[in-house]
Amino acid sequence: MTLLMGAFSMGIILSFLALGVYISFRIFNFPDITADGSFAAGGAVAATLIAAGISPLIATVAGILVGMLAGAITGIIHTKFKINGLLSGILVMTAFYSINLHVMGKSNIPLISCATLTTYAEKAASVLFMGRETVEIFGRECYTGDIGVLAAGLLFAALAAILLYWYFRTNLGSAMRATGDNPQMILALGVNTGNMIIIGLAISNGLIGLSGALLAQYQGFADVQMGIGMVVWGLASVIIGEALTGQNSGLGFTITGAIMGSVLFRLLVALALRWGLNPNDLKLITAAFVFIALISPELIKKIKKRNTFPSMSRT
Amino acid sequence: MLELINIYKTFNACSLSEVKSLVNFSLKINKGDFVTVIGTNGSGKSTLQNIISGTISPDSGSILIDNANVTNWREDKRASLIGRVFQNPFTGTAPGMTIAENLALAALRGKIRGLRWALRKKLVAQMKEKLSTLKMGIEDRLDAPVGTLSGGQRQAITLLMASWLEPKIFLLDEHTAALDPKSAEKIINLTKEIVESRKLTTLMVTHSMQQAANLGNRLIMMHRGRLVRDIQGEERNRLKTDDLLNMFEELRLLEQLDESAAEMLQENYI
Repeated sequence: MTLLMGAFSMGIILSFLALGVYISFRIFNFPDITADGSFAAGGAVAATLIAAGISPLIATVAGILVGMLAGAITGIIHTKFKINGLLSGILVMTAFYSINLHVMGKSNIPLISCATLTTYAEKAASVLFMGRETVEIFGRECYTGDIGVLAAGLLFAALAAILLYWYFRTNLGSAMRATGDNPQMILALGVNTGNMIIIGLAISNGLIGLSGALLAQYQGFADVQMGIGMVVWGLASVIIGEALTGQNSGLGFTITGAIMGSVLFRLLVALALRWGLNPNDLKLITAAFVFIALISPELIKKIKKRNTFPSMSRT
Repeated sequence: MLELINIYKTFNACSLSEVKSLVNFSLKINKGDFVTVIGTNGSGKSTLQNIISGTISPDSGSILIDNANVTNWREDKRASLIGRVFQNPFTGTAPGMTIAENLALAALRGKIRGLRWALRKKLVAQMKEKLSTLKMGIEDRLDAPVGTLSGGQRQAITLLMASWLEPKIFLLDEHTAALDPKSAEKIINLTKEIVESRKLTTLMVTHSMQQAANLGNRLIMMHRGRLVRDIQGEERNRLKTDDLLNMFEELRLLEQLDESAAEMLQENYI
């Protein structure tokens, strides 16, 4: 049960990453791999501030802001200096590796015995459960602390999902979606597509920075390498989410799908690790999964074609 | 209303593939004019539209709209003055967004977009009303993604979108060329209705001689980046499709003359 709760909480925390990746990859059609840098930057900034005794709430907000900054820089490099989108992301991601090291001063900051959002949630839960350490759920013992963290995470994720849904249905948000859907059209309707991309990447990477900041607090440390492979991780979550809700379903469904995809993916990974998957193989398997998910629609089409032709010749 | 002064535009300058798209091109269009533009392939018709809309900037010359010099305005800024319909029915609408969302985007053409809910009730009611005048049955499908519509339906929506806020200049770039004859006729009738009822200043590029002869109060013909014919007033009213075909025939003969002269020169000197 603890394992399940842990995987669930982790999935919720990483769902902010999935939402960020969803915005850049799906809404803007922009292969933004700044995420690897902004995720670690969010964690690094939040952990450094918390270790320095600053309120974890402020530290988390700082993590969001640094993520937004990274995204905005990628957007500016891409739109104002006309550098390929993928390369813009690589440049910022690489630069942020050094920046994160400078911010942290060392490659790893532990947060043991620091007050974090996680400890806040655990305390709140213990107050709500009147000081009990464990409760029974479905006949199994659960730590109230774990429940608190999970509930807080769910609350935050729901809030983020509602905010995003609302935002993307406003006039400004619609213009952003149109920028990804048909840039030529929205340009002819008087929208500066460059600015849309800059703001959009800032929002996307702000969410990713938040995810990094929360993860650092949840696992109790920030590491300069915590961002490696996070884009692919987020993309895997988004793809699973789309499989759950359908790729062309409405905005609300796809946003929820990204969150559910993140949780489901983390649960699958937890199970795989439990069954003896070597943790070192995790990134390889994630990448392979995304690869297969990306090519399978085409493959299925081909197989269907091959199957329909013989039957046609027979008739 | 719209004034183009000595516009030059050359693509791939100083290379083998150099194309002089517009050569010392000047044109003045008055308010309320409905101008049809015809011309041979590569005569610079599309370049002309792209220069007016700001998609490409001229090498030299200036563009005035409503006496304001817009030559250095970016495309998105100029969009506040211009409504545009493209040749490709897929260019004018966002396929992944709903019909209502597309129209809502157009209802703010060139305006500041803030954090207000895009699909306000009043606006949606307006949409239904305007869509029902199309008689295509799409007023009940406001929440369907535009990508599910046919080319003709999408082009009709693009026309509504481009004219939702009254544009100073209405640019139509062969907007029926990619449609089947029946849809094309529908779109042309709709175009006529919109332009005439609201007296829009319109520049319509077309390759259909029938459209060129039947629509508008002025016709210009382009060839190799120059304006070769400008027919208006009484002469325009008397213009028939056959006259236009004759004009093209003349151009073709001239062209052949040029080519045979070039061949002769080549044979004699190379």
